Amino acid sequence: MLMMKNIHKTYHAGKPNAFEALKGIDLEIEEGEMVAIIGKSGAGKSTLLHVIACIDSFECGTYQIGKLSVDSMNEHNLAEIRNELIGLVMQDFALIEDFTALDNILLPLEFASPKKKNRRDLARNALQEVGLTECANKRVSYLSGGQKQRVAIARAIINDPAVILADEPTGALDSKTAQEIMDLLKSMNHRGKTIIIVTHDMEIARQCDRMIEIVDGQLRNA
Amino acid sequence: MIAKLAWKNLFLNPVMYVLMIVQMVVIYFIVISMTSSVLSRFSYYLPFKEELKKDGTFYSFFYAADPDTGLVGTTTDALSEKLKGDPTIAASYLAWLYYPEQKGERDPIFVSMDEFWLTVYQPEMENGHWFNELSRNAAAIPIVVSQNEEGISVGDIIELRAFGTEQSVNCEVIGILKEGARILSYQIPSDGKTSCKNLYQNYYYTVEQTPLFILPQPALDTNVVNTQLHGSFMISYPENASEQIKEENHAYLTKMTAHCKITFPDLYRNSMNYIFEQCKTLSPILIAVLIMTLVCTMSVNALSVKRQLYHYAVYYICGLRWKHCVFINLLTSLYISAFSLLLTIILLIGSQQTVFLQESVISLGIWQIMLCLLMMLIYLGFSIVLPIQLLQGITPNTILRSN
Repeated sequence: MLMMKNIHKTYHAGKPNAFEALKGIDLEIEEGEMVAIIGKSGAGKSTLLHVIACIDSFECGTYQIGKLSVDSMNEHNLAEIRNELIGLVMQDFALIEDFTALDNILLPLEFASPKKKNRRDLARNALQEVGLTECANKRVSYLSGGQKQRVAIARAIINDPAVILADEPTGALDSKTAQEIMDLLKSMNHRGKTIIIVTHDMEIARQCDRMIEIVDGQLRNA
Repeated sequence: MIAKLAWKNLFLNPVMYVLMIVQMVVIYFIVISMTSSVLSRFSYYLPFKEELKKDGTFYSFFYAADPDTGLVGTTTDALSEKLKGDPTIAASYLAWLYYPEQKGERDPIFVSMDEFWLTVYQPEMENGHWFNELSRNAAAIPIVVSQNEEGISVGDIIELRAFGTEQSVNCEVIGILKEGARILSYQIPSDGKTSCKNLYQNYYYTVEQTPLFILPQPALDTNVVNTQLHGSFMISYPENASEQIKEENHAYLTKMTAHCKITFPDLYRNSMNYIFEQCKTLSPILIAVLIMTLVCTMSVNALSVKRQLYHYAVYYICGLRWKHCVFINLLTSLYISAFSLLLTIILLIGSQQTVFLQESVISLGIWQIMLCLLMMLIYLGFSIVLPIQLLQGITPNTILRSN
């Protein structure tokens, strides 16, 4: 499903403050797996997730999603991957607070090409899947942290992506709500989605099929 | 989709965008004011632009009399015959008329002008229109009147009487001059520095207390109405006219009390000097305004982009490219700048009804609109350049974390 070989990523390359965040990452994740990437703060786990999500670049190495080779793609194709193949859930939700929940969920559908005709119905279905039907027309700023994260998950699954990436999805939530979000991600996984979660919380990581530890930019099976 | 998101952006930060619109309206107003200010300096010269390219001389007469006969009656045709070298002349006259129904203490002034003076410049009217019918075949002679106590208004047929012959001259009032309207002067100073600005005067009835009646000279029957050369006079020569002919004509006209003489090249040079001096006076303000405008434009744009970066990062992770985010920013700026321009125009038109703007040189014309559009282009240029600069080499995650 997802294969990386010898991925290197350096911040501020060529400058005195250059910092190599990923040092030759080799990673293979099968379709339908639920994987946790763990590691200390600054170890490179978020950087790895962002490279997987195609929102950050890398200097060398090869990266494949399915049969698509990401390393040779242009900006247009990378945007298509972010839109169609990957759903991203961020710790701070990355929602537009002044939009309604429905409008936030609609964004990936609006950017998709060709545009689907029943976009609002699809968005309502996604909200139903995360159990937030009643909040469809509420502005995100009025929702609780847990509800916001559910909206973010609904947005991540709206285009029916193969992979859902979650960067500390429970980091801003209390333990009860965090477990609800984990249950939601697990249910997505049971329906065949590949889930990759970055977390420093071992409770969360243990609920995944596999844990991968990243130490100083290098992977180690935990 | 991009247009829709740009539109939605406006409602995400309504307070900020209202402030930006206010700022843009102020910028447009400053641009319009400054442009009007510069153009007002050109407005004296522009009506005479073509004429001043010719070889000729400008004179001003003061109750002229024929040097041969001593009589005051003069016509353009008669004068043309007496001048040598087949020159083209444009004269203005005092018409020997009176208004039997005069109510004010001071006698009205009756000025008749050749076609050139009537068509070269049109004063501002309060009612009616300026001359577009100069024919003497009309049943009533068209006439334009200043503000007056006689209650004369547009459409009135008034009866004037000719001194000497006592014959009636029927006139139809086609227009009433605005109070303080700039008219072509019939009293030109002779200080040697005469520029086109001196060819005009503002006519305030409330100051002069004398109603002014302006008639087209070609429509007057000079057998009935006596006319006396007075005020502005222009003579232009064909290309081959000799200096001797010009000097002879000048001597003749001087005998007719021409008290101000200035050649077209000198009038042109003086007019240009006047415009240059005025622009030089205005230039520090212009430069300051330009710098202020550019700084405002940049700060407005930077503020807008900074506020929008978070949204652009969200759009990016949902599958949009930075390029599209720049377009969204451009369109948002276009909506703001176009709406601000529209609002400025509406406010300006509304304000022109107020006393303050009626008395000012601020006006709305093609140049003002063009410069506002140029300002809009600069603003839109910044709205492309700034997000490109800000988004260069940055990841959406960095933006999301910083918010």
